[in-house]
Amino acid sequence: MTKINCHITEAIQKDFSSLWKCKHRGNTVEISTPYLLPDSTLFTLFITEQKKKIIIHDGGSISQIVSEYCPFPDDEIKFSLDGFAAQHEIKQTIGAEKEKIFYRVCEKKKLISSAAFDLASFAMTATNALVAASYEEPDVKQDDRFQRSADSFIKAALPVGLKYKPRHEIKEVPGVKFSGVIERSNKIWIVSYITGSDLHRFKGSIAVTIMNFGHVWDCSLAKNNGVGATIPIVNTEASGYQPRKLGWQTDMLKASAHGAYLPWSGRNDFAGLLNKSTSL
Amino acid sequence: MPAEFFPKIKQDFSTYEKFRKRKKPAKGHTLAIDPEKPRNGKKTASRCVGELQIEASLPSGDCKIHARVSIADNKNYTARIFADYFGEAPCLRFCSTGRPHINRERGKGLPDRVVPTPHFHKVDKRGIMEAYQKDTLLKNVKQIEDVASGINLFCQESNVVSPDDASVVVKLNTGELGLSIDDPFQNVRFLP
Repeated sequence: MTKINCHITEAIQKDFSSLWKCKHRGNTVEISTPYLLPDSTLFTLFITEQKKKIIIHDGGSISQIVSEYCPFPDDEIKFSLDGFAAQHEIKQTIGAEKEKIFYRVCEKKKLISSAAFDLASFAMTATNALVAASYEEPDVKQDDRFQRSADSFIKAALPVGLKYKPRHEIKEVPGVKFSGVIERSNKIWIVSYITGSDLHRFKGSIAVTIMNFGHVWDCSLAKNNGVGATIPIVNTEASGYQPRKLGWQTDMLKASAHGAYLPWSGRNDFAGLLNKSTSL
Repeated sequence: MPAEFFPKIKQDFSTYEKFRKRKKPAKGHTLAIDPEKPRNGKKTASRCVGELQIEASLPSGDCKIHARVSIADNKNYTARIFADYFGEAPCLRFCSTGRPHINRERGKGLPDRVVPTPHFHKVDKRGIMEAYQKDTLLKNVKQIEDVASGINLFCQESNVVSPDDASVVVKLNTGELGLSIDDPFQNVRFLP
């Protein structure tokens, strides 16, 4: 084996340096860096000149990665990003695609590298905390992914005038965070995600939903006609979904939901299910 | 890491390779890309999206090609192929612009792991998503700035054809706002 001495630093530096690549885009330059983001891409710095000031920014990539891969609800993401940005003394603005852009302003050319260093550290911290960390546990991963897909599906499918609140509690059923609550001025719809990485967990998820739905239909709100529907959304892609072993549980679930039942594989019926109960 | 590891493909790599190389007819002639419904309480759409189902000939699940184009900068777009059989994440992908992808080490050292855009993605036999470039991309850099040409290159690369074996027609409708600008940050307000 070759003897390692400090000259190796130069070799490492040379290879690391090869990752810095620059592209011109009008008054902006786009520079890739050796910092790895959790989606296996390299963090790219943008330097824009505006009104004689030098702006070092992320081009919107941090919020794009987080919104694409982070399973947390939007308000939680915003709270965390604001916190990390404040810690790193990073400012925020809104870009052409209405995305958040994080930046630092520089007066002198000499200070660009220092601002770049802080911005890149912020990018690593924020994206890893919000994306990479939520992917550690394989069991959790599957369920979180379902939750995220279901959240965005419902948000996209919702008619105008209805609002979706993920992981929401209603005062009539204290202590229960429903997978989601759909709100209109005078009515709510409760959504419960049913999933599980094995049969046991899946049955547990059904049981909890039956119990919670029971409570919803018993509460004052339901008695005053304030509940449109309770909709179980069943993750038919989960490894715990074994329909042949879930016969009577599924029947009980449907009964507790007053008939509503939405398998993920048939999610396009969601709008119909909602329409039926909105006109009531 | 998210959307990067495909256990199913690692298990059954030959099915994936056959799927990738097989001619896959779409279930329509045209991939129409239209403004997305505005999300999160925003007033206007920032992206155009469109998808087209594909005849996958896989043991189970649907398959589709999905495209997404930035309205503020039409040069910035991505096309992806989703096949339920291989998992939820897209198993083939094309990125026109944006950040370089870094592949796992394959014995050639760090500089060789970086793949700048435009690039394709496919899953390797270990089940890991890797990026790669091809001459067709490098020789057509200007052409790729156009969404339809770029997506057609992706269809060629992934063997997606129209039902009568011709090229899929890509139709981008950005409304009045379609732009192709050099510097997407020229009008952003950065306060000191």
